[in-house]
Amino acid sequence: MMLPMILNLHVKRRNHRRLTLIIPMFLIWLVMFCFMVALLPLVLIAALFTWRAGTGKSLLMAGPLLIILLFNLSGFRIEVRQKEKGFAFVMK
Amino acid sequence: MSEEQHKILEMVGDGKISVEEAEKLLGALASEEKSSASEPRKDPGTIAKLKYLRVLVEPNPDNPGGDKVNIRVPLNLIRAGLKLAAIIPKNVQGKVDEALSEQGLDINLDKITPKDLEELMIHLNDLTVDVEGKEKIRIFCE
Repeated sequence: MMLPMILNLHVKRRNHRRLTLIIPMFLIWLVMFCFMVALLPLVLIAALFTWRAGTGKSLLMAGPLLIILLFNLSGFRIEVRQKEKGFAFVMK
Repeated sequence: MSEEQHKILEMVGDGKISVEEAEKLLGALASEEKSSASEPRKDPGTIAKLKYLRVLVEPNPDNPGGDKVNIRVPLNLIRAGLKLAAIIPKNVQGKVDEALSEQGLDINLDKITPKDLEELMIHLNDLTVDVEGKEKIRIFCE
């Protein structure tokens, strides 16, 4: 289980050149990690205040589950092709 | 009545799937049993090795302009998604179910458990659906 490091995007439109984007996901993860660390105290306080309402536990669980979700994105692939058009989204 | 049919009826009873969906599943199960009567069923060891859910859509040779779709979803991503869906607060869950229902999907996400997913993988050997002779949809785990 490893975070996906590269996102490949391929878009092909009619009468247009094929567009290929290689997005370095590790940079996005770095920014996201900083955001998560910065937001952690706020989330903890919000969880404390909403604990009685029942949403506090969900709020606490959401962070780790979201991280697990991101770690399992590797290998995710969506590819749609037509005669002259196409789209591909590949997480590597 | 087989165990699978019993399970489908239970899912209808629990409100996890609609009667129409159950009919489709029972129909698919009957045709699957006919076509793969001699195929061995996946054991838990084999299921542990499965990593991806694949959905392939290929146009029939008579319809070459059709869409070609290739989707590969890591099974662990689905499992994590189910766990995340289970902790969504009830009031938000209602809105999600409503939105899904508007799109024609009568599914209660919070009622689908990872155990249901494992059972789906056990019984989903290699399902091929022929859509009005235009395209073939193949769903399988690998």
